[in-house]
Amino acid sequence: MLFLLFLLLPFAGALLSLVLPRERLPLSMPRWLALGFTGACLLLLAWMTFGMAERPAVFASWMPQVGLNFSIWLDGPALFFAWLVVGIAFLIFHYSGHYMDPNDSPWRFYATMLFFMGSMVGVVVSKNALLMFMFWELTSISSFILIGHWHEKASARAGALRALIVTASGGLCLLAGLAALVWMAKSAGLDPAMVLEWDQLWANREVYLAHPAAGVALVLLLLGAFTKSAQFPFQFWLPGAMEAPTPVSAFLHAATMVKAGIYLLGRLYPMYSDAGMWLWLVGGTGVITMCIGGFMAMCARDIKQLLAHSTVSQLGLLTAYYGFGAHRVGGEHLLPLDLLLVLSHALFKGALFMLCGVIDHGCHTRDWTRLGGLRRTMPRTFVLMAIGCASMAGVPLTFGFVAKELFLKASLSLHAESALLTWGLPALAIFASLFTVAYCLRIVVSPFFGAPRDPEIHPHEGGIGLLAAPAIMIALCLAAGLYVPILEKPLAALTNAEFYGTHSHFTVAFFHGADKLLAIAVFLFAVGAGVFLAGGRILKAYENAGSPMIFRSAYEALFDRAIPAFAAWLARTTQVASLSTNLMRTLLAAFGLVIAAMISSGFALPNIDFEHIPLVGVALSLLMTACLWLVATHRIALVRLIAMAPIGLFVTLLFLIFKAPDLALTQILVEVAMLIVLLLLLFHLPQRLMPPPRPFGRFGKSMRLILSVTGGLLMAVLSHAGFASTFKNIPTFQGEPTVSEYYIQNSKHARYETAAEAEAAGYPAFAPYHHSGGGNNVVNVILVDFRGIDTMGEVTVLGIAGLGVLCLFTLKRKHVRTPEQKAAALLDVMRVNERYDEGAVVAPMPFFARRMWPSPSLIMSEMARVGPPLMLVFAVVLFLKGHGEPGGGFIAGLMASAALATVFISFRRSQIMPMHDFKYRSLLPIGLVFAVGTGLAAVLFGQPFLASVHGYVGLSALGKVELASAMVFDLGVFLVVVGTTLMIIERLGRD
Amino acid sequence: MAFLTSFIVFLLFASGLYLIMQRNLFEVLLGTNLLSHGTNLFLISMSGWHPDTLPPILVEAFGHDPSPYVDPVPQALILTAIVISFGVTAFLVVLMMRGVEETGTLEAGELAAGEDEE
Repeated sequence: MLFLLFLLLPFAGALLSLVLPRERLPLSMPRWLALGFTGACLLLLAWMTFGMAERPAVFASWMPQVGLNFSIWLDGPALFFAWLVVGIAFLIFHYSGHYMDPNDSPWRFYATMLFFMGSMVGVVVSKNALLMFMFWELTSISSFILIGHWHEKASARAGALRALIVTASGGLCLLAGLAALVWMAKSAGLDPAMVLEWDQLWANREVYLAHPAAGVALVLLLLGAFTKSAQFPFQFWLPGAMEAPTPVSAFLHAATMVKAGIYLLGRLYPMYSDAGMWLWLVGGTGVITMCIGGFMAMCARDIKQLLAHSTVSQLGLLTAYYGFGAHRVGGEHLLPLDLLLVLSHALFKGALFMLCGVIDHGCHTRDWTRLGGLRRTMPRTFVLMAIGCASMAGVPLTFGFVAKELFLKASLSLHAESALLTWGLPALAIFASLFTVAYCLRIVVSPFFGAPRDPEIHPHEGGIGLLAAPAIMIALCLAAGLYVPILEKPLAALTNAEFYGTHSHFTVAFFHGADKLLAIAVFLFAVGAGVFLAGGRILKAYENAGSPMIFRSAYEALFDRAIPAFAAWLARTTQVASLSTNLMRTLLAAFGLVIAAMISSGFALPNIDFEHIPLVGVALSLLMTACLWLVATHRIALVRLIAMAPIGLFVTLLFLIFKAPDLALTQILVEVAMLIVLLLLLFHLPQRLMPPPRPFGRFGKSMRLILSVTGGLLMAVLSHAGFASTFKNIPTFQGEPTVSEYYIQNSKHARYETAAEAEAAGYPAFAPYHHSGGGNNVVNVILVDFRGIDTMGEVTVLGIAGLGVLCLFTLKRKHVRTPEQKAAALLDVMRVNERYDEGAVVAPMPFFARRMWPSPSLIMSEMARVGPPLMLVFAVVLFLKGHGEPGGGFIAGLMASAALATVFISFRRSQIMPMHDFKYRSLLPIGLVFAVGTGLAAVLFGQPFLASVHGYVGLSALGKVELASAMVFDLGVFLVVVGTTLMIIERLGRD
Repeated sequence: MAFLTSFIVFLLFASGLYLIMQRNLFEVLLGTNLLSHGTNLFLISMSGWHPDTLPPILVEAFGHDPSPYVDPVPQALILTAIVISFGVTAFLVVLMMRGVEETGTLEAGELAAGEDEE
């Protein structure tokens, strides 16, 4: 429970920051909130680390079919990274209070930072790889928001987008890789439920290594790790991410988020360390990234950019370390101390970024070519920076030295099959390390020594608030360097003992005596200093070459030019500014697909049974043809509308013939509502004759005819084919159990009592064999019970359509009509009514323009006093009996709407003011709350969402009425239908 | 029955498709309406027809035997489809009204041209 709280606290903090009334609270509030939540997390973490006898873990099955579980744990690496993330977050929040402008949207900033922290903690404590992927994507999103914090700047937006596209594409690769793993496990006969737990992945590594597609899965997984950790060739997004405020850069893009890829490598290592590809893929990528990052760092003027490139280089080092680790020294894994390298980098790099922020703060520039002599004006910053850089360069007595030594040792003990790898990789690594020494010197020497270069810069030292957080991190660097065991012991305890076995004897010390390593170190410092001295020339040469950024340019060529250009070309060539032409093209393509599918599946034209055609059917289709002819061709809109009505009635009749009483009821009620809406449309169309649209040419017309007849024929053939093939099967349900059979059998009472019985009848094991809906009307039971969640979606769609109508009405009008114009329009209508018979494409109908007549039709208004109350009573009956007999929420809702709509059109508005003024839209949320509430109530009782219970209640007038909890759901449906329908009709009926 | 139903499906689809390919938005509206009728009929034709089957309202006497009834699944699909197509038609109606109000025309092509100018 505490563990879950630990995971959720940051998200709770983020949510709280978003919902608090920010206008009434001080601007420092969000930071204190963030510090408070992070502090609470730290306390929880400390309790879980030191106060608990056993490491906590939470497990809940989620989607076992695809291997997704909500399972979190705190094994060694998880614990380490959790401390790293939360601890650094605390320091960063302290620092940003002094760095950020208090007016710079602090609520959003801290909310996103907390959100990021939670996601990152989620990544590292997830035991399930798929769960980790979800948090992984959340970190990408929060990183996107944070990089774009100053979204007024175009460069910040571009940097944010670039980071998102690169990391999210990598995320998709990661997902594909995980899917591949599940697929492999399934094909090896493993139960997918648990395969994506890390420990299971390690235990079954043989399965994944032996599979023919092992390489594909590995590459996909690695792409995820490499994009996240800015490895070659994706390293370019990280320098672009430096548009973020410095605390963000220090937190996300130096200390934590970019470590997610490294973390993933650590998790994958036990699986794949035996794969032949691992060394050259991971080690090679790492070493190349080291070189590129190191070189680019020498070409940067901006210290922050320099640090970003150096981060790329250091991440390459971490990656390479995992790659080299694949090859063991005398049968020993080198890796148990991988966390030491991660910690070392997080400490100095986080601190260096913050110090870079202090320089920015004090000098208002980060361009080292303009800075100089800061040693005297910013002495504290200087000392901290110097120690940090010493650690980065690997100077003895610092933590970085230990890390560097480990790395060099790992690379020197490589024994690959190919000599190229054995010698090439370490050589490249050492070459890249030269740059490290050089740019460390650059950061320390260039801004801090010499004379001030720019008289316009008036540097001032950062306050204690700004320096406290980096000072703590630097102090840790120094302490761990001076006495290695204080960090080494606890870190060694955190290593993955399950996999690596007992602790390795590969211990660290800061001096091993005069050996090969020492020689290399001396070489590195000597030649590195030389590179530093040549640095000015490197920078100049780079800038003379036009500051090429090859990878970023490649990215831009693809995402900023090629893809938009392709999209524009595609849109230009396939779409024209004409609805009907586009529709024709779409239909043509769709028909082509259908015909192709028919041909490829060996479709044969059906034998038409002409003998059993009922005479009434022939009459019906003839009438239908006549009506459709009118709808399609008549000049007068009103006639067309009226011809629509019998078509609806024919369809209703057909539903009856097909033994679907519910559908017939629904259809006929919808016809009423539809007719009212369409007639109201005619009343509202501009009160003048529409210019008839341009006619099509002969070609266009015949094309349209051909297309529509083809479409009709295709659908008819398909319908006939479907009809014929189901004709024999459906009445008897022979062969396989169908879902229809299941619904019918379980609609009233459950068919089977035990799972074994159900399985013997052929049901899959997961079918809820004991579930029953408690209603005789199978259609209604399907709607409100079996497929309740679909219905919920459908009423939501209905509600959205209703809200859309409302929005369109309230949308600001471009042309506001004056009263005179309105009067003129009204006169127009009168004139049109007189000319009614002259024919027009759209003519308003005289009888419906109720405002033109002193009173609406007498017959209508007298009928409306009797009819609607009866209809409402009928609606209640339909609703209550709907679970057992035809009826239900949809039908009752339509009936009630039809009743009220009849009232609307029969009286003048002033006569029925309260009915008009009722806010029908308020029924929408109430209905949705009912529907969702029913589902949640089931969850509260420990049942699945929307599970139902039922019993009987005797209502004397109606007989025995089934009262199921699904009825509450149906009531929600009823309310949404009534709300939407009446809202639309009432709005349309107004001026 | 199969032939009759597919003939009516043909009628509804052919006229519906013809109408939605017109320039006049009012005709497009009528066309979508006919298309939804056609689709519903198409769906219900999938449940087949036989003179002796019963509507899917369970009768006590048959117990758990599914064979006397007609397939309820297409019916459940269509029921919500009818109601939603009403909602969508109403939305289209209002969209059309506002479009006419802003542009003064019912022609689909001209509406698109109006958008480009803004």
